[in-house]
This record gives sequence, structure tokens and C-alpha cells, in this order.
Amino acid sequence: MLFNSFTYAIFLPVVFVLYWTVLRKRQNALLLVASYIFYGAWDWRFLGLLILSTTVDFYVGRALATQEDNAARKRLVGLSLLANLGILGFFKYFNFFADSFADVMGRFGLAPSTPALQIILPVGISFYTFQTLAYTIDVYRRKKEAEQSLLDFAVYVAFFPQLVAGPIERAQRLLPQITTPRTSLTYEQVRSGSFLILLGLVRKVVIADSLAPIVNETFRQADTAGAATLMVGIVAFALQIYGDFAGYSDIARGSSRLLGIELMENFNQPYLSRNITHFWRNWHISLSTWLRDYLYIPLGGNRKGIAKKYRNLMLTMLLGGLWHGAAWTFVVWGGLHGLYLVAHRWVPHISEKDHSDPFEWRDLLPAFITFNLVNVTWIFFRAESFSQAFDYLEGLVTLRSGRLVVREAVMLLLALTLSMGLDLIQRNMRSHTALQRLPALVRGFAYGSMILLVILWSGGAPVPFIYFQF
Amino acid sequence: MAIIDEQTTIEPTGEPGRRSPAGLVVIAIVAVLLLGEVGARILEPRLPTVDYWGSEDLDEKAGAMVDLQGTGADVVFLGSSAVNRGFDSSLFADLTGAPSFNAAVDASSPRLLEAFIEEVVRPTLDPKVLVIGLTSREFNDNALTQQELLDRYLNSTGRAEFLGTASVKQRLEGLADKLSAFVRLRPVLRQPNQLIDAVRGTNPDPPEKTDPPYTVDRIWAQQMASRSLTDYEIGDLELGALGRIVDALEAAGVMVVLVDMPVVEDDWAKLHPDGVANINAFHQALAAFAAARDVDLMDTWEETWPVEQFRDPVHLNSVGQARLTRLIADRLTGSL
Repeated sequence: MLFNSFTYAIFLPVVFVLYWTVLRKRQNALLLVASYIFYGAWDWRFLGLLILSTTVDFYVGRALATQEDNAARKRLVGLSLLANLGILGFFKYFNFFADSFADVMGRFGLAPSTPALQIILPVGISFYTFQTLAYTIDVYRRKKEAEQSLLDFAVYVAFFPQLVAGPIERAQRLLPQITTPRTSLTYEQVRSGSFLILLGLVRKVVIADSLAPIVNETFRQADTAGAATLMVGIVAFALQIYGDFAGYSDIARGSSRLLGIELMENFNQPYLSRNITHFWRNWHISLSTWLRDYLYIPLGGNRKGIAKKYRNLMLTMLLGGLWHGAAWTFVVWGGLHGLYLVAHRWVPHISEKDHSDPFEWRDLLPAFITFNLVNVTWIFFRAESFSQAFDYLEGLVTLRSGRLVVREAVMLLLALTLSMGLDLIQRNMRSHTALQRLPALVRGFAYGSMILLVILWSGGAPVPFIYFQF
Repeated sequence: MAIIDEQTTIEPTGEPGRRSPAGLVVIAIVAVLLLGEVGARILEPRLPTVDYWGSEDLDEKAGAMVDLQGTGADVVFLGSSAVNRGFDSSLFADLTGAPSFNAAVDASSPRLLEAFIEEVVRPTLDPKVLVIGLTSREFNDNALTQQELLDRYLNSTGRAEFLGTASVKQRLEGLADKLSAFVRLRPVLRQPNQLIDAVRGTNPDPPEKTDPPYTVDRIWAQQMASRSLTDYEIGDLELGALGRIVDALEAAGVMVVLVDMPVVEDDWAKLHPDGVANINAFHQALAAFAAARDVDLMDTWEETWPVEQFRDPVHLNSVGQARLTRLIADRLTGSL
């Protein structure tokens, strides 16, 4: 079920009404049923994986809570890792590693017979796997008490607003909200929750979906399109993926807020970042903090000398890239970001200004440079193969001649203005729901315009969110 | 590590904000929506029509066929834009005395025709003879434009309403379309160029009065090569659909005539990825298909078609159209 679908427009209000009225005393049971319906609407067969992951981590968590023997505790956490990473590895990476193995062997003149399985990638598997893993590791590290209610834990894993594309929530934040009954709903929650949903729809339907055809067409013609078209295409993709994913996160947070549960912010105007470090503090925050806590720090973090610090950073970013998809292009995407981050450490910091400070004119040049550095990496992220990525880069670098479709440039300009305009308002008013602080009349006009834009760009089959495939 | 030196900030629930009268907000929202609606109604006469069946051409053809329901047509021409420009149904009717209708749809493929014939053409026109004109792009299993049109047709409100299969969502959208010009005109209002043309009062598609001279428009050629003829491959997708069309029509007692449509050298030389090899593959596949199924095939390539009878490499002008129409009329005279 897609957030931008007619079905969800019926589903959420029904759940909302039941949740706050007749099933007020059975909120978590309702949330679990609703979450399984939400997930099962995509493909009910994969509910089994979700339930398996939930069951394994719930009982491993309980066992860890009572087990004092260190060796036994390690075995238990190992079981959780094996189950979760095993599921993820099989469904997401089996063919990737099998193909890569065959490719390497082929280069040595060997042709091993590798099985090619038709594996469907269960939607959201990377997200809920990381969420349950984090829980088990935190219980193992004694940072979190084991959850005693299977129902509450199952809701934590399957909570529908964030099930398929995050934010990847920590048990310390989300579980207490689930175990505590939500007894009242405030006007502010409804107001800001609804606003976040509207904002998310604008980002997804108006910005991301309107740019999708331009991006698809440009990448398809990566080997022939002119440099101007390629430039339009890559900026369009930068806005598309941001609008798509940040839009999803806004709708998730808004939907969740209507149910009295707060989800973390996943994006904080990343394209207004003055450097790559700031960018990563504000892009897919729930993943980057996950990678910090469960990968970078366990690898040694920055505690074991400069060389190991950079090694750890590179490893984290490479694996972060692979998390996005089973393809070497994603690894290169992560690797480039790793290199940027390492390089940024070498550059003298001109400004130590905090990222959340208002955006000023003097920030324009560094933000522009950062945006374009990120755009280079998006080419690898979006390309279906290395040859397509290199064709794209070649066209840009050699300033390949070709006709620019004015209509596409105009569309990009409009989307850019809207996306950056929203971000600037949020940044300079220091709030994601900043528009709600405007005077009533201005706010009304802003809401009306947003509704009008969503209506304008709606209709037809809803476009799936890009991050569902990860 | 750079990516995560600081903790994520969590926005407090229900940021208080400055409370303002809710009524004023609602009034402003309604005012903006009304402004959008009034603007759309003012611009509506200057805007192109909105696709109800998936494309302007489908709208025109399906609408005309629904109007003809009951009257019917003995001979129906089907195919893509080459057929649209290739056969003059009025001239054909004059020559043969048989009521005919050109139901060809620009950028259609056998898969689209398969659905269109069964769902709309036969129920409305009940033809005795179906003439299906084909060019090489209709056999390309990787054609993007054709795939997009098929998707648009299958998901169109017009089709769903005509077949009585409209979902609740489609019915609500249909209702909103009827009530609101803004909702109805969404697809065209999204296009900045069409909007600018409408505001300026420019007619985006002035009607043609005379035959344009033969040209190979660079942009059109690029689009054709990169979308309809991209990764040219004749497989089972489109040929399979053509097979099912023939099976269904023959089972229903409808005579089928396939026409290998004329094109000029620029088509294969400038548009096809593998040039003449693609065209040859198409001819062979079509001939083999017709022979295997014992279907009447009219091969227009047995004649010479000078560029003077074309407007571009695949579309005939009025002279070429009259010539081709006479050819098919001669061919069918005995059968009607």
C-alpha cells in the first residue's frame, strides 16, 4: 500500500477513527493488524519473514535479559545476526554475490555454474531488519531492557508508518511510546500531523513524480544526450530522490503523529549543507546514525589512530552504499561519499557555523559546491550499470553537444524553486512545520496552494517510492 | 566520524506555533482553490482537450465509434499513425460502397489493438473486414512509446467507464472531473508550455490546410529512434498479440487483411538502430506470420513509393493516402 494511493487515503482515516474511538483500549492490537494489512497488501507471503524476524528477536531479547554467561549471550546475539542478516543476505544479495563470483571466475577463464534464482526482494526488508537488529544489539549491550510483550514488540517492528522505508527507529525511542497507552490526542498533533502529510505529498507527488520522466529519459539516453540535458537530468534526480524519500518520511511522521507516536526526523534540508559532513548529518539521518552506532563505532570509530579512522569511515560508507542495493554502482556511490568525507577532514574548516543556523548568502557558494559534489555520486546511484554511469559522466565532462528540451528545463526550475523554497523556510524558521507559524491568512494561502499543487499532480496510478526497492 | 558527530534532533510534538483563527485559514484555503477553479474555467477553451481514453487520438476514435454504435461499419482500418495517414475511409466508402471507419490509433501496437478491438471496435462497429496496417515499429517488443500508450489506455477512465469496470477511485475521479474544470484539466495544466500558450492565446495545434512538404524533422526522428525503435527486437510479445487478434477475429467470422505499410528509405537509414537489417527482419516476420496463419497480406512494397507521396519517412501525404486507399479498395472489392 502506497502512502500516495487512494487506498491509503481510506486506510489511514479508518485506522485513525478506530484507534481513538472504539478500539482505544486495544490500540496496539489494532496497530498490529493494520500494519500487517498494510504490509500484506503488497505481498502477503512476505509477512512470514516479518513475523519470523519479530519472533526471533523478541525471544533472543528475552533470553539475553536473563542470561548472564557472556559466551551464551554472544551465541544468542549471533543467532539474531544470523537470522536477520541471513534473510537479508538471501533475499537481497544472493544473486549479486553469485553473479559477482561468476564474473570474477570468468576473468580467470573459469566458468562456474552459479544458480540464478528468481528472488523477489521483500519490500522494506533492509529497514525492518536493521531496526530489529538494533534492538537485539542494544539489549545485548544492556542499553535497553528486553521487551516483555510480544504484541508491543511486534508493533515496534511492523509499525506501518515507518515499516517499509523508515525512519529506522531505535527501541529506546519507539518502544516506550508503544508500551505507553496513548490516551489523548491534541489539536496540535492533528494540525501538525496533517500538515506533515500534506508537505510529504507535495514533496513526493509534485516534486519527485513530476521530475521522474525527465530523469528516466535522460539516463536512458546517457550515451547520446547533450551536456545541458545531462545536467538537467542529474539535478532533477537529486531533487527527485530527495522529494521522494523526504516526502515519504514526512508522511510517515505525520501519519504516526496522528496516532500519538513521534518518529524521528530523517532529513534536515540536506541540500543546504555547506560541506559533505553537514550533508551526512542531514541526509537519511536514521541510517547514518545506525551505521555510526552499529558499524563505525564497533569497528573502532576514531579511537585507534588516523589511518584506522579513515579505514573505518570508508568501510562504513562502502557498506552503507551496499545497503542501498545489490549492485557495485551503489558501492561506488558509498565509496565516493567516503572519499569526500575523508577529504573534508583534510580541508581547513573555514566555518564552524552550526548546520541548523539560518542559511545566508555567504553559504550559497559552499552549498552549491557540496550539492554538485553530491550530484556526481547520484550518477552512480541512479545508473543501471557502470557503462551508463561513465557515458553520463563523459557527456558532462566533454560538454557533449545536444539539444536541451526547454520544457524539461522549465519543469526543473519550478521544482527546484519549490524544493529549495520549502527547505529555506524550514531552515530559517528552524522547524519542519515552520509554515504553521505564519500569520493565519498567509498560512491559509500556503496550504491552499499546496493542496492545489497536489491535486494538479495527482491522478493515474500512484508512483512507488524509490526507497521501497532498498 | 563525519556522518554522525551529533545526535539527531527530534522535533517536539505539536509545536505550539502562533494560534490564529482557524476560520481565516479555511477561508484562505477555499479562496485559493476557487481561484484555481476559476482560472481553469477561463483557460479551458484555449487548452487542448484532456485524454479520457489515454491519448487524444484514442479519445477521438473511441468517441466516434461510440457515436456510430448501432450504425456500425463494414470495413475498419486499424494500426498506428501510418494507417491513420494511410487510409481515407470516406474515399474507400465512395469507391466500394461499403461503410468504413479508420480506427487507427497513433503509436499503437498489436497489444493495444488486441484490447481495443475486443473491447471497443467490435462491440461498437461490428465490422465484416478488418484491415490491419503494420510498420516495423509495431513489431518491436522494446518500443517505449507504444508501451506507455498501452498502459495509459488500460488505466484510462474512458475504458473503465465504457466497460463498466471503473473502480471506486475512478468513479470518484470521474465525478470530480465533471464537477471541476481544474481537476478535469490537470494533465494539460501541468505542462508549462501549454499553460503559457493558453495564457497567450496561442493555438498549440493549428489545423493543416495543405500537405506539408516531405521532411525528416530532427526532433521527431530522434524521438522515433530512441523510443519506438529503441533496442529493436522482434519477439513473441507483439507477434503473439497479433496472433491472438487473428485467432479471435477469425473465430468471430471477421475477415482479416494485413498490410505491409509503405515507408521510404530514410526510415531504415536514419531511424532504425540496425538500418535495413531491422526492416528486412520485419518483412520476413510479417510474411512468415501471414503464411503460417494463411492470412491475406497486401505487400505494398511490390510498388514504388516516391518521397513526393510522403510527408515524412513513414506517413503518406494526401496523394499517397488516396493511392493506398484505391489499392486496398481494389483488393477488397470482390470480398465485400
